[in-house]
Amino acid sequence: MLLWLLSSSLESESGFADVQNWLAAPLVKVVVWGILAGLLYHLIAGVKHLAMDMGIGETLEGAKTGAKLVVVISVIAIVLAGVWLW
Amino acid sequence: MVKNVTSFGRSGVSEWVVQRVSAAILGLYFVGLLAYMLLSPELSYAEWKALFSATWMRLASIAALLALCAHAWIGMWTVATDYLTEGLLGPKGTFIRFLFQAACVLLIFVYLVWGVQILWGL
Repeated sequence: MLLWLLSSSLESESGFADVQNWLAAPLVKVVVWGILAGLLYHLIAGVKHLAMDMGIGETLEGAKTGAKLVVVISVIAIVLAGVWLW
Repeated sequence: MVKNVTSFGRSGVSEWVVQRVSAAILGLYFVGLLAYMLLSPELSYAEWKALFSATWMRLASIAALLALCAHAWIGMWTVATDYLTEGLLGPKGTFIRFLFQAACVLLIFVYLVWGVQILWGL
């Protein structure tokens, strides 16, 4: 999906315009939002993993707060992505 | 124990490292691209094309693409060897996992070739 958008947007002026039109369609926005949501959550949880690899937040309490933080930050990021798309 | 045939080596250490390194590359690339898009609201075709034509961006994109292939493969291998096992699925478990992993390899290869073609063909 993302490769398709990239390919079309780089191909030509009209390809770029096509992508802009596609992105205007509500259904496409929902799909892109879904992809972004998954990616944002994965990214944020991944950063937490990297932190834990460095020894940050490895205790039971640390892990709990880490998990809550990931969820809260992810929700905020995903909502912002929605605002950006709409 | 699952017959852990991975593409890198006997122990899982190299996968562990590659997974983190590829994650860092992908994280930087994604955040950077997102920042670029957020900071240029009225993005024009010329500007977008110029970005991806720049050598440094092409190299960064190829690096991200390769990192994505490695990251996705290790991630999917990890999932497959956790869930698609004979313990959970019975005798045909290994065969199902094999099909799943073959499909993953094929899909990753398609994305790699397609991605390179997009970046190469500019």
